[in-house]
Amino acid sequence: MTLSRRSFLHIGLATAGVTGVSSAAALHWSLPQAQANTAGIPTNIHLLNRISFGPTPEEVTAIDQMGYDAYLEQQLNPEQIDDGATDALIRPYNAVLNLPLATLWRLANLEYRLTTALYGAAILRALHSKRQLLERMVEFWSDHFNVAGEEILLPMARYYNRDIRNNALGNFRALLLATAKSPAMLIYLDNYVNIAEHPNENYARELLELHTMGADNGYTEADVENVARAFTGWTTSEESGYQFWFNTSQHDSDTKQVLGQTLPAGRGIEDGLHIIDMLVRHPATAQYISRKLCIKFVSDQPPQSLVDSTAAVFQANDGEIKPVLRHLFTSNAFKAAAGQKLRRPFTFYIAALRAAGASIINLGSSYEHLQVLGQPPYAWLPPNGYPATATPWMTTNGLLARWNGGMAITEGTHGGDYTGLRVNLHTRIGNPATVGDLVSTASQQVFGYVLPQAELAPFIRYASDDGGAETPVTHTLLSRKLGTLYGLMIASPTFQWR
Amino acid sequence: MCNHTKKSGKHCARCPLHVFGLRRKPGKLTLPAVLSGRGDTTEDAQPLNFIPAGMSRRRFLQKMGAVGAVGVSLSVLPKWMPRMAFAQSPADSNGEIVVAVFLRGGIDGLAAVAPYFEGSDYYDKRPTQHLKEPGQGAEAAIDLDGQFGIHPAMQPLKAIYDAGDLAFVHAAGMTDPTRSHFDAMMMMEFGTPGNKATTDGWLARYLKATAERNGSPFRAVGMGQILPTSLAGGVSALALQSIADFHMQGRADEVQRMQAALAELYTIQAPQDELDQQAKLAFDTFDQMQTLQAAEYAPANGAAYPESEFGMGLRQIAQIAKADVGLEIATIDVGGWDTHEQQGTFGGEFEFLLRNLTDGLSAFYRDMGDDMRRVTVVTMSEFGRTIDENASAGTDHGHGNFMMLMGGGVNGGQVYTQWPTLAEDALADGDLAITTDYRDVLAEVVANRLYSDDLDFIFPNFKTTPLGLVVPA
Repeated sequence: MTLSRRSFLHIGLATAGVTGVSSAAALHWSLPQAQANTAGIPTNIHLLNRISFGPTPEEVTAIDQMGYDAYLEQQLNPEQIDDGATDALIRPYNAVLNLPLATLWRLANLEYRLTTALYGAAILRALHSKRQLLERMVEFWSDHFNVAGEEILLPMARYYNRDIRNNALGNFRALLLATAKSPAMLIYLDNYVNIAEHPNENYARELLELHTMGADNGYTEADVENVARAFTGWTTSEESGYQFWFNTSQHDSDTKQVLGQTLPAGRGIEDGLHIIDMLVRHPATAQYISRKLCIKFVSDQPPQSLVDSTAAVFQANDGEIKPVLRHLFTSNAFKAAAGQKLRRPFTFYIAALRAAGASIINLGSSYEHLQVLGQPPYAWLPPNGYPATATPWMTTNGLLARWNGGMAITEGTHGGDYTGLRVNLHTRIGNPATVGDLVSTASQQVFGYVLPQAELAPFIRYASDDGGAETPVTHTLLSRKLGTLYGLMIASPTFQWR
Repeated sequence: MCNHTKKSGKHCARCPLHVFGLRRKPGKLTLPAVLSGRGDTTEDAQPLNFIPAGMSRRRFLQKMGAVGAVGVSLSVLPKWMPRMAFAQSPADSNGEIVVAVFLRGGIDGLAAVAPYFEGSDYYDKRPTQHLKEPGQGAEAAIDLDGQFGIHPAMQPLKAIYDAGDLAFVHAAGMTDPTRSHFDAMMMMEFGTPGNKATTDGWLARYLKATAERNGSPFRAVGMGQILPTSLAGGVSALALQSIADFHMQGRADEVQRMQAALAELYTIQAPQDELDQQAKLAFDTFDQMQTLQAAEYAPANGAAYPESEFGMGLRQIAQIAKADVGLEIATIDVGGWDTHEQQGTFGGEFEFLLRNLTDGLSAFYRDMGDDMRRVTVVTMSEFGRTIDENASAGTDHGHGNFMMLMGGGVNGGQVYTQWPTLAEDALADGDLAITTDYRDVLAEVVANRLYSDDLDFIFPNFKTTPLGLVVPA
């Protein structure tokens, strides 16, 4: 007999006293995210949860040995971290980005090479890189300066691999300029057809609304129009090999008023550069970027005091990104926010692979799994990037995909399909004597720490078939329960939060 | 070579695909089959969806905190409120079902529903990819009204048209001039032509506006792996690849124990929060899915669905519709219409696709039988194709197109159009103009069948015009 839904709900009723769907449930949503386990997350694990794509036993050991501050400092200076193994994985894919177009277009399997250099590299780096904070910041800016569209595979691959990556922990002005000049952005937001005779405002509007100042934050419709005029002639073409070039003949060199300042007549590319300087220094930009960073790394509703102090650091350091992050991750507000962020599907997937010690042998399968979960890399079409907060991601279907995702990764099944992963949990778990040991070890690997006893209890009940923590671990028990135990932990609510 | 290039002799400023030399078919942001290592995924895969709600529920509730403390009554529910919080019996809805079919890639409406009466304005520009005038042999249009005729592959739809349950709308579409698949699909599904910054789909807004009606997990079902943009944004619509697949996976001998453990985990560790609500809904859905599977489904009235993804999808929609589990909205896609090269209006790709579309729709109509009186099927495509065929016996991205409405509530047996003509000066940038905004067609279905008076919310900044195509339920 199948356990009916009603009996499931009875289990819940006994514990939580749910009285059915009502306004009480709605009211509860207005309370801050208070996960039962929030307080139990060790501070070092909290940092790993936020600055990496999920703790691994190696990183847990490293941060416990180095200490919080030293580990953070090392992550802020990725050049100090040897990442040769990851580079070696990516290098064959990236080679294609350097070829002259005439050579490139003649390559066999061009699409395969480009898609792998773009989507595949993003997955591999998140999974394997030792420079996890750098990867997190690449993710942050990739959302912030989102571009997408299969028509622009080559420019996109160059954009995310170079323009974003090279500046992700650098200076915001350099980053903004790199995106403004990148063919991927020029095409995606139509600036490549923004010419004096027919100004196209698409890029100008998003530059103000999404990239710098934030919507309705101190600029007018006229500002948008004049920013568009300032960027006329910023273009790209196939003849240029998809490089940026400034087409003087298409630039509107008349005088312009932007944000109360006058751009004198007779200038060329200086108009756009002037705008970028103005925007980087604008207080609204410091506020907007700081708020987004706080939402990304602290909580969906960060305290305004933290946003303000972060914005002050941003301004005081002329948009240098490292001091801003250092401030953020050493703040008390950050340390008090453990467990309050939902793992987005991409992070969920990578964290699950890291938890299970899995490696990828078929990137296509990983991409498909990310599609099922709802967040394949670089596939968000609108310019605002994948949402950073929890609510849009909490759907029935999305949750089922996570539950089954955990099982697929650890059991080697994915709806009957090949998962394209290599996982060896038997080696990873060692030789636990009792179910208590088994569950503790798995918890350490999956969550980065051993959960409090009360939270371990359901896993112990499951793994021992209600026999209790002292139940001896036999070969039979392991062969039946090992994969599903990891899968269950990955499917658990605790794993969804970070 | 796209039509724009052909005309100007310069690089096409409209289609980055053509400017940037990547020759693969555009249209869907999915993984190319070459990377997935499978050859069958590209054409039928769906574009990415999942657009966030503009404002988080929590933020809104914070604003409404005082109200919440004394209980939220249904009358003050915000429009975006997800249904599961106020789940009620599906019986509260009027039983009407809308099936939205998206023809991805831009179907050639001038080869499916031909304006043969245009004479040389049609035939001169379409030397090969056209339908002959009715009565002119095997490649002749089947006449509808003395002006328009349908492709012979659409023959099975003619009986439904004659029965008054099928209407065509021509020179309809999404009014933004973009010829980009991505942008056009996105804006069309958002329901906001010209605005790419919208954060939810038109169907999602309908569901939010009427959230208190129906709490069934099957209220909105998107056939396919992921939900289309029209259903994205703050509603818990169900993306359903197949009824048989909606269950927990893993070792068969452990699934029940795992489900029991999960149920325990989600209530112990996250009591009553959003994730917990979703978990409950998932369990609820498992339960109902079992009921559906228990009954072996056999289509009625000898209906034979094509063995395609589209056919199988429609068959499952019919199954859910007949099971009375609260289905209101179903979406399904059928792709492959981006026929730039060797279109094959007869004997080729286009005819094959059209046959699949037609056979699926007619099987659904037959299978639903009497229930068709409470079902409305509406088809749309992101844009039409160029009137001029190109040098590769194909057609490029155009503008105006046809739509179909099928169901007992449709004022059928007519081709509804304010036909703009194919005369040079009547064209929109060289292509068929749009004289009927697709939102007017959809709005009529929403207002007259689903009885929603929230058209301002569902189609913001748009004043709808009644067309008389759908009669009130």
